[in-house]
Amino acid sequence: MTKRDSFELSEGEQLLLSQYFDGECGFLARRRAEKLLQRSGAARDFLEALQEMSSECRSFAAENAPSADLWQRIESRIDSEERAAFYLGERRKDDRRESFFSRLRSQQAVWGGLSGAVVAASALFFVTSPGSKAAPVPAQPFHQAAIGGMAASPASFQNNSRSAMEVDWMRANGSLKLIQDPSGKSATIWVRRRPGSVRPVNAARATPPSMATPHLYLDGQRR
Amino acid sequence: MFLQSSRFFIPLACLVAVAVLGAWPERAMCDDSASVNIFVRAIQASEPIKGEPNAPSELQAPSVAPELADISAKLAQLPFSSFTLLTTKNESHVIKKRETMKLPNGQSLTFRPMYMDNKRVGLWLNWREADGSEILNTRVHFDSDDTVVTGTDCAGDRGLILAIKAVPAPTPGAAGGE
Repeated sequence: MTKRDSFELSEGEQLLLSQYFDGECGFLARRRAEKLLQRSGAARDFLEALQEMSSECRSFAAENAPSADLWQRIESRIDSEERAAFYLGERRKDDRRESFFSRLRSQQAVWGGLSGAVVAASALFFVTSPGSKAAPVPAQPFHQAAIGGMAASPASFQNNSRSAMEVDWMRANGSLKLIQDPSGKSATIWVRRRPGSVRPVNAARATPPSMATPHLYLDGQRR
Repeated sequence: MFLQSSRFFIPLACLVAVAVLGAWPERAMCDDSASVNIFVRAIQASEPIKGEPNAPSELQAPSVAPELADISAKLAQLPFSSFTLLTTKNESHVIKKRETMKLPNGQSLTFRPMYMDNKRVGLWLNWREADGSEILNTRVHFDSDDTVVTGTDCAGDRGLILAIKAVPAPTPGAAGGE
């Protein structure tokens, strides 16, 4: 055993052996590596360790081999990036902190959608505005069931809704009765309350509060 | 600058234009500072008619105070045969501003005129008892030459009726009300 067997390999010798193992050595370096391997057991052990490590890496890579279409997917992604760069500009990383306006600028789609929503809302406003003459609200037959709670659509009392009374919604603490007037133009709204829950016409102030509270009814049901 | 970017500027310009156009018709339709005269009559109904309401026998002419002659046809359909005027209130109110009117029996009538063009008026009404309980809460649209009549039962087989009319407020110096 040579003197070198008792010493570990220097960093330069390990690098030389690594290059030799990888086939990256020139003529002189390969000769030096071969001489080192001949005279040093530690060098041979180091080379053997490299071979074992390499075989383990190959077996791991074989077990976790990428799918066959990996490169196709990578190429398609590269193509899409190139197309995006053509239309949107090259992708860049901005290390600066984003300001409020730059964040707004990055949300152009949100602004576009918001403006579209406002356009739609304004169009609805034009159409449904009570003062709009261009689009009269279509008349709807009056339904008693629509009254007494939150009616989904206005109830009107005449075919010509422009001159008829319309009710958006109606809520009462008693059952509601609507009595259409002879002209059919409007209706009298009568709130029916049970006897005992009502108060004298002119004696409200004299009634103690505890006695003045009427029984409340909504749509005919006791609350 | 972000305003110089056409991609941002076009949606922003559309947004501003739409906001202006959306606000314009309402301004043109009625000025927020415009006023409307709310004419409320509190009516006591008495002498109830027994039987099915709206029966032909009830359509006979009831006893109606002369001040209620304009709504006598409406009152005639109610199951009472006598109607007397309790009080009259005629106040000018600003469009879109909520106001509360005290009624003589302690009840209150809160209303908010929503709009008033030449012929049409939108009105939110909230009629409450003296203790704050709600009698009626509604939002109606009607012609300014029409009167909304609403009522409720009261003790002693009587009824309390409100006749509400809204007309455009006259120009300064002119007489108001009916």
